Amino acid sequence: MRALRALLVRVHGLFSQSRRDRDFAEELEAHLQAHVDDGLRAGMSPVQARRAALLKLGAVEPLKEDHRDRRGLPMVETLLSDLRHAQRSLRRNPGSTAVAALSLALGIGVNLTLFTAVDSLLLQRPTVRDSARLVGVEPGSGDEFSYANFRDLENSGIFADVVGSNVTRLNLRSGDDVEVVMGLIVTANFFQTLGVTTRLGRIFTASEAAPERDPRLAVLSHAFWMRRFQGDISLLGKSIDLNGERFLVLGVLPQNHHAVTAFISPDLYVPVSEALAPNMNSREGGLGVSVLARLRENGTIAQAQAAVTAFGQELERIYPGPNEGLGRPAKVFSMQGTHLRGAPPGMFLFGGLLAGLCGLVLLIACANVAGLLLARAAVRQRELAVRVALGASRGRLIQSLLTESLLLALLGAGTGLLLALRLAPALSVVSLPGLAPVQIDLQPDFNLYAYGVVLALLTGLICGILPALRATGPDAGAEIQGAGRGSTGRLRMRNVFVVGQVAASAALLVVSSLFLRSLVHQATADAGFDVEHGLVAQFRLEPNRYSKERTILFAQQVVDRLMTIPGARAAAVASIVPFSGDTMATRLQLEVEGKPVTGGQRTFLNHVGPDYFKTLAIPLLRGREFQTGDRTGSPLVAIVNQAFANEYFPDGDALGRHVGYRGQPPLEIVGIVKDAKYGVGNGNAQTVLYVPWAQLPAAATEARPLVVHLRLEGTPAAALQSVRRAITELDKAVAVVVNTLEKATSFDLSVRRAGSVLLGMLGGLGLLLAMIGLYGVMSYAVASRTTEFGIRLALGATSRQLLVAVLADGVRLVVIGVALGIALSLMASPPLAAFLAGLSPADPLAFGGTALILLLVGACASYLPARRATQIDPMAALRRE
Amino acid sequence: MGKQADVWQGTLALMILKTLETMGPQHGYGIARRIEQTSGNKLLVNYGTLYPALLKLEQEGYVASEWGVSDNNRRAKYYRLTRAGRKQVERAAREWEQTTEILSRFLTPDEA
Repeated sequence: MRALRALLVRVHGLFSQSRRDRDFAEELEAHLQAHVDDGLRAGMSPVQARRAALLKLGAVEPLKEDHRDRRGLPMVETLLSDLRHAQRSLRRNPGSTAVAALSLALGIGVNLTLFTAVDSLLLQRPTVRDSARLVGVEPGSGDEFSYANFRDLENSGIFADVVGSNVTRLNLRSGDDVEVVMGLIVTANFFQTLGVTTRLGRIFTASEAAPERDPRLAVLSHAFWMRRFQGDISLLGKSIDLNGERFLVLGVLPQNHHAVTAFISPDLYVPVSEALAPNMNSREGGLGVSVLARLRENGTIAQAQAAVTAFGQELERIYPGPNEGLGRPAKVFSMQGTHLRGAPPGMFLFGGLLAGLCGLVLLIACANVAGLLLARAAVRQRELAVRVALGASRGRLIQSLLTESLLLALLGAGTGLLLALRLAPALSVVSLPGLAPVQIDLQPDFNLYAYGVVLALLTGLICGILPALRATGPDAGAEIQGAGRGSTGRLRMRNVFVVGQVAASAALLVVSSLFLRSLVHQATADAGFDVEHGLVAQFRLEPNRYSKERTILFAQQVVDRLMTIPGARAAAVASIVPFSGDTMATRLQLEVEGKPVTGGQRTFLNHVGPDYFKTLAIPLLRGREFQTGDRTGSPLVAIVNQAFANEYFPDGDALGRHVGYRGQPPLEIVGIVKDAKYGVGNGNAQTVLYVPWAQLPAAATEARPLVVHLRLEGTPAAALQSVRRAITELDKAVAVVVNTLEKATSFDLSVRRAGSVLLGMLGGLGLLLAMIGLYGVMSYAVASRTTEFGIRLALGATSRQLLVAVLADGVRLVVIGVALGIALSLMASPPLAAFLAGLSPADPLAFGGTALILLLVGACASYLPARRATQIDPMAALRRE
Repeated sequence: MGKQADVWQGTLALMILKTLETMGPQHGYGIARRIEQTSGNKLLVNYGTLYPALLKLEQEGYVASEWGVSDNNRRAKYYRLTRAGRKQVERAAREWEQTTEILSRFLTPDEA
C-alpha cells in the first residue's frame, strides 16, 4: 500500500519538477544557514562557520540531482522527453512521416482485417459453461446420432449431460412473404446444460420444452433479431410462423454469443418437436442430431469413447437395420477442436496462404519505414554525435531512436485499425447465396485491439532496430566526419531492403496471377451441360405437411406446370445443382457387384427425375434415361457418367452391372451419360452417380431442398416470374428461389472470384509499397550523389548518360529482386496446385507477367529521381562543397 | 571508539521518526543534529542520505512537511509526524527491539 502511495506521489511529481527544484534548493539554503548560525554561536568567525557548514553538507548538485530523480520517475521522464523529441522530429518531415505511417497503416490494416476474420472463425470458442469437460460425440457410423439413439445415449449414463442439435432451414412466413431462415433444432435441455443466457427475455427450460408437450418456442440470435425485426423488443411474447406453425418468441441471445455450430450462425433456436421433424422418433431415418456431452466427474475421453462404442454395438445388435455400422469405434473429442469441425475443405490452406501474404505485405511496409529511418538518421548524424560527446550512452541513443520508430508504428497501427474497422464489416457481408444465407459474424473486439498493439510494437522494433544500431554503431563516428555526404554503407543497406521488397511483391503477384489465371481457365471451360437456356427453382417443402408420397406428387405437379410455360423444352427434378456451393463430392462407400471398393475417389450423388439429362442437355451415350416407371417398388436402377464407368468398370461394359452405396441394396446400371462437371476440381474427370429421385428413402426427401430444372427455347431470364408464379400457385407457403442456371452455377466461381480479388488486392498493395520503397531509395541515392553528378555534368557528361546511369541502377535492383522472388515462388508454389484446378503452379504466363509488370513499374519509379539527376545545376552542386 | 560511524542503512528512517515523535515538528538540520547528539556524537548523519530518506518518508505518507519560521527567525521547512507515522514508529520500534533481542542472544554467552 505504502509503495503504491509513494509511486502515485512520484507520478504526480513528474508534473511540477521545476517548482520542486526551487523548493529543495531553498530547503538546502535554510539548512546551510542554520548550520552557519550554530557555528557563529559556537564562536567561529562567519567565514569559518560557512566553510565548516559547506564541508559538512558536501556536494550540493549531485544531492539535488538525486533528490530530483527520487521525486519523479526518471524512466518515465526520459521516455516522455524521447516522445517529445520523436514527435518534433516526425513533424519536421511531414511528407516522409506520412508516407511511412501510411505504408504501415496499409500493412497493419490488412493484417488486422485478416485477424478479425480468423479470430471470429477460429479463435472464438462457443459460448458454453465449463467447456473443459464438454466433448463432441460421434457414432461409428457417421457424424450424427438418430434422435432415438440420442435418447438412449442420454439414458445410458455414460455422460453427465448430453445435448443434441440439428441445423435445419425453416420457412419463416409473414403474410404472403416466405423467407428461409437457418434454424437450430435443439434438444430440450440444450440451453440449460450449456449454460447459455439471453440478453433479452429468457431461454426455454428442459421441462417446458420437453417433446411430449409439443413445444412451440423460439429463441432468436441477436444478429437475426436486428436484421429481420430491427431489434423490436415488443416481439418478445409474440408468435412467429415457422413452417406453418406458430412459435412463441421467448428471448434474444447476447450479441457476443458464439454458436456451437462455428461456421454457421443459426438465426433462431427451436426445441425438438413433431412440428418440425414429424417422424423424429423413428429409428429408420428419424431426426439426426450432432451430440455434445459433458464428461462425468473424473471421467476421461478414452473411457467415454470405449463406453460409447460398446453402447453402439449394443444398439446395433438390438436394431440391426437402421443402426448398421453404429458399433464401429465411436469418436469422442474435446471441445477445443469441435468448433473447427465442418470447416470447408481448403479453408485452412487458403487461410494460411492469406496470412502468409498479409505478413509479406507488412514486411514490405516495414522495409519502407526502415529505409526512411535510415535516411533520417543520416541527417541527424551530427545531432547524435553531439549527444555522444555530452555523455549519452549507445543504449540511451538507441532507446531514443526506437521511440521514434515505435511512435511511427503506433501512428500507422492506429490508422490501420480504422482501416480494418471499415474493411471488416465489408467482409461479413460476404454471405453464401444458397437457399438461405449462411451468416458468419465478424465483430471487432478486444482481441483485435490487443493484436493491433502487438503488431505496432513488433513493426516498430523491426523497422527501427537496424537503423538505430547502424546510426549509433562503431563506424558512426567515421560518418560524422563526412557528414552531409551519403554513406555508401547506408545506401547498400537500403538497396538490400529494396531488393527484398521487390522479391516479396514478386511472390505476391505470382500467387495472385496464378489464381486469376486458374479462374479464367475455369470460367471458360466447358461444363458439359447447357448453361445458357436453363432455369432452376429451389425450394423446401415443410416436412410436417409433406410426406414422401406428397412430395413426389408435388414435384411431378411442378414439372407438369413448368412444361406449360411458353418455350419450355424440358423440365426435371434433381437434388443438387452443379457448382452451387452446397454441392460436394463425398465418399459413398461404393460396392461394385457386391464387393466394397476400397479407396476410390469422391463421387457426386444426384437424385434426378425423368428427363433430367434431356433438360440439362447432357448426352445419353448408352442405355436409357430414368422414366416415370422408376419409382418405389420397381427394380432399383442407376445411371452413371463416363468417368464413373471408366473408373469402376475398366474391364468392360458398365451397362447391366450392379453398384451399391452407403449399404443400400445394389442398383442396376441402366444408362451411361457423357461427363458433366459438378464442382471446381483439380482437373480430373469427376465421377457422378445418378439415382432415380422417386426411389429415395423417405428421410432423404425431407433432408434436401428440392431442385427443379427447366430448359427453354430462348433466353431464360424472361420466364423467371412465370416459374415462380407456377410454383406458388400450387402452394403459396413454399419459399422458392428461382435463378437462371447460369447464375445458380456461378456460386463456386464467385467464391473463387472473391478469393482472387482479395489476392489481387494484396498483390497490388505489395507492388505499391515496394515501388514507394524503390522511389525513396532512388531519390535518396540521387540526392546524396548531387556533387558527383555535378562534376560529371561539368566534365561533359550528357544528361541522357546520367538518366541512363540512374535508371540502370534502379532497374538492376528490380531485376535482382524479381529473380530472387521468382526463384522463391517457384520453390514455394507447388502446394498451391490444390486451388488451381489443373493449372500448373509453374504457369509461365503468371511468372512472366509478374516479371514484366515489376520491371515496367520499377523503371517508372526510378524515372522521376533519374530525371532529377539530369536537372542538377553543376555550379550549384560544386558550390555545396 | 572516538571515531564517528555512518548511520546504518534502514535505521535512519526509524531515527528520524523517533526524533520527530519526541521533539515535535523539526527541520532537516535540526533532525540531523538531534540524531547526532542523541547518539553521543557517535553517529554522523550524511545529508546525502538524510534528505532522500525524508523524501521517501514523505512519499510514503509517514511525515508531512510545510514551510515555517525557525527560532532565529529564518524560513525553514518543517517536518512533522502524521498519524500513519506515529503507528509506524511503534511498529518499527517493536520490530527493532525484537531484532536486537534475538541478536543479543547470539552475542551473549549461553547460560544454560
